[in-house]
Amino acid sequence: MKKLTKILIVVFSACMIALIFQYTHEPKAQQPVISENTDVDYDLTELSGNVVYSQVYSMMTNPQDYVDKTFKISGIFAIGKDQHGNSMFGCIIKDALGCCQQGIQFEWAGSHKYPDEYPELGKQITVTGTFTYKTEGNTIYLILQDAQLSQI
Amino acid sequence: MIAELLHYLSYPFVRYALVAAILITLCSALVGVILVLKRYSYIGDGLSHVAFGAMSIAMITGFVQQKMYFVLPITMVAAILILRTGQNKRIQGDALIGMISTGSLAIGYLLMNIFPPSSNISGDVCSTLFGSTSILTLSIAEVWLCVIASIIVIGVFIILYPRIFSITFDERFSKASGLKVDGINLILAIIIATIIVLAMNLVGSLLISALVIFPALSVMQLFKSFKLVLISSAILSEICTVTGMLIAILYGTPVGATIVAVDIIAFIICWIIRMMKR
Repeated sequence: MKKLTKILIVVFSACMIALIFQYTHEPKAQQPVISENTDVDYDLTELSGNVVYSQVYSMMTNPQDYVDKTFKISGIFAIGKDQHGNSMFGCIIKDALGCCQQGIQFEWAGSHKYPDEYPELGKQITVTGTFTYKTEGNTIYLILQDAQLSQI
Repeated sequence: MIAELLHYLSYPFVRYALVAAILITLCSALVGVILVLKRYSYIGDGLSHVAFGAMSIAMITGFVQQKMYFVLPITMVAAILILRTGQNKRIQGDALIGMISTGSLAIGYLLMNIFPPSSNISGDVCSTLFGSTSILTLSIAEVWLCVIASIIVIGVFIILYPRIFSITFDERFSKASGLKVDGINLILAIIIATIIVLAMNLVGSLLISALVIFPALSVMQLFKSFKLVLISSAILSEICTVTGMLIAILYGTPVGATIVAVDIIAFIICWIIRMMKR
């Protein structure tokens, strides 16, 4: 019993130390993960599906932590409408099971005509832009401003 | 690969997920041994379905952020109901688990369809049933809830260890020798319910039983001493969970399903070792 107690306490203490360490060493805003290969703050194209989805979820729940950071994301091109009926262009990111998805709106730099210059709906795209957000009622819109768009 | 792993560990939500997973797994492995030995393995499955039903109600009533405070008491009540009423001769324990689990699942799904909490019902149902990336989207408050619940579960387990040991192997003898078996069973039911609700985030409600049963059954292939089974079950379960999570994070596979797949591999390895020993 003493051995069991000791092992349980050691495992538990390790977890507590890890948690406290990471909590105390972390600023309120989440640390930007600077990509080594690009000049963006968060290059989500290099990450696995689970981490990308979780990162976007984190942006959805704490958008203020990411304002003015540059992002590069890959996903599916989609069009939606906001509460006023205005068209929004977005990049949809799915989770590993494919049942949940989240979208980030983007504003393509320059003037571009839809549908002539835009990709086909459902096409895989990569968007690079500066993050901002807006809230309307209970809805939060994640936006990549001044975005560069490329098709994969 | 190590560099990639370290890169992923720089994300706070990955670290939160690992801490929560380690704690949840430790608790589930300890309780798993008791459940397997008491032949209550399926209670985890039944309770997870109840938790799904409670989660559905929390979602449609707009208590998504406070869902733990809603789901936990309901699951605890169901656990007590199953353990107490299971001794009733008119409705046997296994039939009762079947009734409560399928009933809760059906009512939960029905309510979510009648009063959709979001535009993506299939996504909500899917992520509740299979966990999806829930463990990677925990808030710091939810991680702390995991820590506190784990402290309570492990503390109670250590304090009650001699009594739990006694009733696990011979409930009648324990009762005859003056042990308050009903009270300990009640505490066990509450502990099981707590672990089920916490583990829903890790593997989803459909896969919880695997997290509870597989590590215990795997080490039982190799060891016979209760204490040894308990310790090795906790260690094996931790190894499987951390391995599964890292694979899921690195390769983008579903977290819960990957952890269970690693548990299955561990069971097969233990079974082969036992066969080779014969």
